[in-house]
Amino acid sequence: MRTAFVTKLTELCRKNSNIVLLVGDIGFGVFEDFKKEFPRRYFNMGIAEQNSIGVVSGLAKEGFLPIFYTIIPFLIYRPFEQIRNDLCINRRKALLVGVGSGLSYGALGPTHHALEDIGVLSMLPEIAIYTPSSPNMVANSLEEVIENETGPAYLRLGKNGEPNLKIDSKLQNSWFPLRVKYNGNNILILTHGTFSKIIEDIIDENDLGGLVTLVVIERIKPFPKSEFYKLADGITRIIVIEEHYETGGLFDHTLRECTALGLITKIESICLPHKFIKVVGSQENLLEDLELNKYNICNRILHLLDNK
Amino acid sequence: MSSSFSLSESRTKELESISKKLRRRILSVALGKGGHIGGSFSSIDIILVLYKEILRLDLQNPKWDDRDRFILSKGHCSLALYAVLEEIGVLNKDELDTYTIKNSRLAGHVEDFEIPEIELSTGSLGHGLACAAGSALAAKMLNKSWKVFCILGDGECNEGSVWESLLFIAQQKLNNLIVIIDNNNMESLDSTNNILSIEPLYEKFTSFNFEVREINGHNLNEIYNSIISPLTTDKPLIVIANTIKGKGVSFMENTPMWHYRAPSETELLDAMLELS
Repeated sequence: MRTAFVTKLTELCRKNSNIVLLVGDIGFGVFEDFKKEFPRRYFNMGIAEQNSIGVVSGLAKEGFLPIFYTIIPFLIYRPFEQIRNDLCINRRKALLVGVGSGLSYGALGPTHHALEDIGVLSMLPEIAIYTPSSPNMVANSLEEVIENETGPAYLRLGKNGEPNLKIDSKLQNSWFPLRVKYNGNNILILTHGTFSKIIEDIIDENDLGGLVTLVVIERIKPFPKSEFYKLADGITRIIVIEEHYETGGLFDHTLRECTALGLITKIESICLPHKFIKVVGSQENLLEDLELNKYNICNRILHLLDNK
Repeated sequence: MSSSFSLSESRTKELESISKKLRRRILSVALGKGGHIGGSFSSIDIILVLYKEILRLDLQNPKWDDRDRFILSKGHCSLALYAVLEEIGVLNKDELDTYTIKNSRLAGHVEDFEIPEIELSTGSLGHGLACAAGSALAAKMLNKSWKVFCILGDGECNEGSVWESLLFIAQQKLNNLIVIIDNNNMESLDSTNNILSIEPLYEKFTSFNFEVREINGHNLNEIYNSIISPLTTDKPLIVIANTIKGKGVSFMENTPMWHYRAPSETELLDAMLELS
């Protein structure tokens, strides 16, 4: 996802001279080519996230389109009030790009995990939340923000090397708030981010496409209500799967939308347990330990499908 | 002594008279509903000199691209800013009377929602300087000559974010940004030195690679001179304006109670006498 971000950003910068990239002293080697091509539009802000968000606000006020890139906890949790006041209350068009969604930085410990970020930002009016699932979707989301957003936005990335989804292929160069695959009768599976590929594979490998409809959400906030309402109409069961806590994540958003719609639907979740993950290990190790690897998720989906 | 960087004696007298008038105006507005009087009285002379003598503005075109930008980072001193904006005709005549009442444009902390002349909504301390730095960086990138002025309080300098911004401003050599510290040595409940001292302030700022000037923040000519005298280095400028919280009314000066308070009618009369 990171490479897709930098590649697309470089392309967009050639067309839009207002874009400025600010980096929180991370990404060794990632931005070397960008710096060479746009030396006056790249700033390493140091380890000073509160100041960085304020500078983003000031640049945006003067007509630039600033993009601030760093690891999610430092991007969202440390300068939360700057995001709230200087970007949201003052309503600046700016983009926050966070790397390390969920347990992407698993081995670095719970300070570097990002399991609350969607919830934290969901509380704020004004800011949009994009949760792409693949390199293609990252590129499309970035373009969508730059072309069409009018206020602050957050783009949640994993790390690097994620595959594209099959769901991408048909609509490769377009952005949609959600994508739909398969045509199950009355069960929706909603997901986003790094879990999307796992779910797509599980459905294919277990031939579940006739039983479920897969909905990959690309923008959680504002929630794609009208598209969701069409899909959810008549549905008896929804399963939300995400690399985030239930609290504040897609699960909460889905519950709220179903309530607003008056849908009496059984909503299940396969999310991270609400605790700090203090076991040491890679993302794969931790998901296995938490019984959230592909095998476990597959079994849980099959179990849920069996228990109507 | 007068020079091209000084106000004339008559102009200074005129501004001093306006300063007293605006203090009276603030007190009359705060009667019965309160306001941050102490900090407004420590900062109002600086804000007055900025708007009357220094800022390049087009009052007919508030979003003129080449205007100077002013950010009141200590947004609780909104009464001082509003009083000056009313004085120069940015606010409607008598609009200050609507301060904090229903549907007013004038909130207790500075808000820009309906007043285009206000550059940034502030209220939580430690935010304005970074935003000012962003504007100053933008001016440099655009090769624009406009400047950014930002007033902070000394208590506000307890916030770590202020020091992050100072590092950044010095690193980027943003000498088109003028930082002014309303150094009244008071926070809400006690003196800054008794709570969380920021001294030695002059040495701190110097060591952060700023050109530092220290003045009497109630001497209008010193305020003017300190801001417009050419820099002697390529470093950005910080003016430490030593001020008195509640300045102008003896029983309010350096008194924590007057950080935020509504004067009674008796107190208002006594204060008005001192400010007459």
